[in-house]
Amino acid sequence: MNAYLAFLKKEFYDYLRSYKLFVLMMVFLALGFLNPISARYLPEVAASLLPDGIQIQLPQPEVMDSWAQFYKNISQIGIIILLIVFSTMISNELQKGTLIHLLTKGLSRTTILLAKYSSALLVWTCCYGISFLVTYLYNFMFWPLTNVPHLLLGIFCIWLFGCLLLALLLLGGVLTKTSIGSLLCTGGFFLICMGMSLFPPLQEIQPAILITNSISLLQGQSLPADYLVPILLALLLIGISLSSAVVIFRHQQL
Amino acid sequence: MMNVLELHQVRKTFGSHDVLKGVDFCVPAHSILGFIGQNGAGKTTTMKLILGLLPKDAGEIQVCQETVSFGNTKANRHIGYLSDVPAFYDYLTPYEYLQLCASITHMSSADCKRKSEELLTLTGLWQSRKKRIATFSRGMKQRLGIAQALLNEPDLLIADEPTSALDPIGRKDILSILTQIKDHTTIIFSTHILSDVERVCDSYAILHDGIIQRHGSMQSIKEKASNRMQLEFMNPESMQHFLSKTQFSTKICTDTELQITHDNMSQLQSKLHQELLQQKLSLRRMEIVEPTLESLYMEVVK
Repeated sequence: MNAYLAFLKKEFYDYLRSYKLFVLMMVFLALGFLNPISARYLPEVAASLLPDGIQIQLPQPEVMDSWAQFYKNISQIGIIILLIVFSTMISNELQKGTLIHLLTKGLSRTTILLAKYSSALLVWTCCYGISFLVTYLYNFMFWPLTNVPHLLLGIFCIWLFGCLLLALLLLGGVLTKTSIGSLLCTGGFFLICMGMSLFPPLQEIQPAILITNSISLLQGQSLPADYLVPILLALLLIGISLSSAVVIFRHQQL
Repeated sequence: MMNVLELHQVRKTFGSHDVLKGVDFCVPAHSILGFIGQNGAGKTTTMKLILGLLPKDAGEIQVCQETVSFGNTKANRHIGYLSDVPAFYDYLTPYEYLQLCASITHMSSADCKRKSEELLTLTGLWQSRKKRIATFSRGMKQRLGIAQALLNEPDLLIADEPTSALDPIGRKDILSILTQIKDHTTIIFSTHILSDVERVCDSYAILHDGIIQRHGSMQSIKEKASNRMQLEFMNPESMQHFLSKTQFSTKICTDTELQITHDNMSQLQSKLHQELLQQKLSLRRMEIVEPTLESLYMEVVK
């Protein structure tokens, strides 16, 4: 436990001093602001930019527009930045050989991977949480009396998918010892999910539905029960990815 | 004296390349072993096998009577390791790095503080303890490497070519630190710089062609009977004259100098005197060539 905490602390020194945490915080904070403000004021800005004499009827902005922006921005820009920042989390250490001295001191390889994954998870959770809170507060300011159904379940779906991608990133890094390998592993997984969505029986269970379709949950077009299988599948894949990464890493020659 | 490290018939193959074909040696406590070999001879592979970082194909390795197995870091609690170009986390300070190492080895915070201060002073890094490792020179990183390797007061320090990448001053610093710590720990010091071995080591092991070709104490090299003599003639003509008549096997060094090798030194001396008298030749210099680590090494790798 001592070794785990010490390595976790080292990871946070890295995130802080190499500005990874700062970059992620800024991006997610900006996304948090952008969602409600663009939803609330974009129609007014668009109307003011129209030439004199032309009038178009724009719909009244709603809280759902802001949440739709949140889902879109986090699942695209947010996730991509997250993957880029964490793509080097294990490959860098394997390439530079920084783990050698620590391993010869008795640090277990399983501890290294668990500390790496949990620190990435913690950063992802905090950044995502900040973005959500900022959007939520602004939404509450702009549309105080509007209730959104299944909001927390939708938020959980995106968070879980982020956790799955981080696990795949770690597996790719251990397998290939390169950051490109990490990114290809997650990209390949996403493509497989997209491939699965072309076939109706698989369409509803593939895990990428957690980020591509969860807005429909808020809009009442789908039910929480529809997400049970993708959630369980995502949890299973996280378990498989992490345990495979541990098994491979324990047998890897360094 | 107890052996801190023992290797018995250790073999390792990479693909079709047999790197180690049955390595055998042992290191007694509180001694410095110079582990010598050409680049690519398998020194680093041997060290990584001792550390359990690579799986061996056959044989047995014991550190402090404990058997080493791949991926299992249990025996590593007896070992401190210093690689040839140690890699650190550039964003940490040396003090933070030593704290990280101390937490891994379950050292108490009081012990960690005391030991870190002691080692940073020993390695001359106390003034730089608050600077980021990114600003360190190669020599400073090597010294920090020694500090981290000695943190848990290991019974065995494995130093893999610690001086190879350093300038003369950096080399001198590292060798002087190794000499200072010799009383508390046993050291294996791999290198291809023979003068470094002669300066600090008590014993040597020469790895060549996958096996230990020579192994012994530094004292034994000096005690080893010489079988060579070096002659310097007055002029090149005298030497040519000698060469045309001699029955000894000779090796020409310059146009007036040559070396003669023979199994029996006293026989060689008397026969040589006879030959010189018969040929009426006088010499400028005649001396017995003392065996050195270099001559031993050259004999092995030739």
